[in-house]
Amino acid sequence: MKKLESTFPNMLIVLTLIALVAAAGLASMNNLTKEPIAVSAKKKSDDAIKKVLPKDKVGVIARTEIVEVNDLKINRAYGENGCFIGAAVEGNATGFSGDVLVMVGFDKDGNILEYEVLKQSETPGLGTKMTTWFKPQVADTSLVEKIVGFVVEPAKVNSSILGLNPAKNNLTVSKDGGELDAITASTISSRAFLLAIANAYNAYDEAYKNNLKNSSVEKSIEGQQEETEIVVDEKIVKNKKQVAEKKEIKKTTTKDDLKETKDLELKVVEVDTKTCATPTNNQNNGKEIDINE
Amino acid sequence: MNKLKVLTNGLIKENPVLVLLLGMCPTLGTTSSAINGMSMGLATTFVLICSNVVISLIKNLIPDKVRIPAFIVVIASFVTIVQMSMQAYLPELYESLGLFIPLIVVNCIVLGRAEAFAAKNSVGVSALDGISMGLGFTIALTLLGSMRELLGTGKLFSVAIYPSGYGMLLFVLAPGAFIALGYLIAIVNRLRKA
Repeated sequence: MKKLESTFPNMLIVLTLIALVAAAGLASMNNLTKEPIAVSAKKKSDDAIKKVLPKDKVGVIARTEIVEVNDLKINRAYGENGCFIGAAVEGNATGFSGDVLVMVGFDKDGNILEYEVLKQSETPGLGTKMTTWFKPQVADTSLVEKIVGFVVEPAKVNSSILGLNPAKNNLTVSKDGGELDAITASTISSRAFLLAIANAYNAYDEAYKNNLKNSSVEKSIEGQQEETEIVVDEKIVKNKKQVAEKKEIKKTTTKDDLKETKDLELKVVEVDTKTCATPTNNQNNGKEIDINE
Repeated sequence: MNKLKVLTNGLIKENPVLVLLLGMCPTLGTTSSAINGMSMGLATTFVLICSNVVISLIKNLIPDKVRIPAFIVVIASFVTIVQMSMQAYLPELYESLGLFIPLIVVNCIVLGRAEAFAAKNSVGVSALDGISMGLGFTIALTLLGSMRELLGTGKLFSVAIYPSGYGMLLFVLAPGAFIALGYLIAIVNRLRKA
């Protein structure tokens, strides 16, 4: 076949045809992969939640509920008896090169259980160490060490944040007066990581306090003057202003829910105060929790 | 044209990275570990084979003056296919290679082979050329990635070889990529002349 001449109509037709075929091919490919991409993204976040809320520490997660505070996603986890057992919270900060996004698992008292770095673009070999640095150091015996039989002890560092509580411990690097050792030669990345953890904790804390208040709101609406301990300090008042808008939405939904599940709701509150150490979010629990009477 | 010669051309004699010095950006950017280098090489190989085949099939339909945009559209389609399937089925790899996957579109090896080989030869030979060049690229990237990973972190394909505390961090960073590539090219030059 002879090659097509480079006339204007020829060029126009050929390019249009090629682009059309390519577009059609890509559209069908997009259809094929759309679902797997969504599934793998969902799986990734589910896996991260499971990882930061380990089964042996918080027990089986029966369901999770997503709350957003300061644009940070909080996955509140509830156990089989409907009790709040912990939360997987996303925290972000700006690192040495780009954003750092971390998912932190807090138990119901705010202790850090585990963390997982979801996104970072720090310097390879330096800042990227944050994925393991802030956990207990695991000795990785190399091939040479196995053959020679002489193990090189890694330098001892005090950097693990697992089990610590941001409310009680000063989670900053030692340079800033904190109690943690920064990653060698990556102080900025270390600071960013710890800031992300602090942001996650603040979001967790705020959501927790909002929750307490919401449950008190429910009760006062009901006319049930049940005594719940709510510590109102300055911080809460400040938070109140910040999330006034969000709370209003929450309040309305709470009222609606209550109308439907008035009786159940009261029972749930009773059950919770008996079995759970801390009050849980009762907003939507009414229908979902199975109460064995 | 001798098919065997086409098939072995890309491995050493006309290795795209080590001899032709094409596609330096992904070469230096993605070889921080052996597995990254290898995956990048394989992704490029897939695009190279597919685009070579398609372009050699439609070479007579494309008027000379618009051949470059036509080639780019074909290449970009295959790159997007690779990108989407990687995102769907190998999400971790997709994240570690990141921006470099879409950048295969502008990899000069792919366009270079389309222009210099596929546009002048038949389908079968073009496919062989794609395989050969792709494997050459993959081998070069895997070698470079292994060198950098071993010298930089004491690991090879994520298996600890010697204590990581003795690794030279320089080799994981960009300057190390240039140094390692320079030595690799020197070794290949010596081998070719011998």
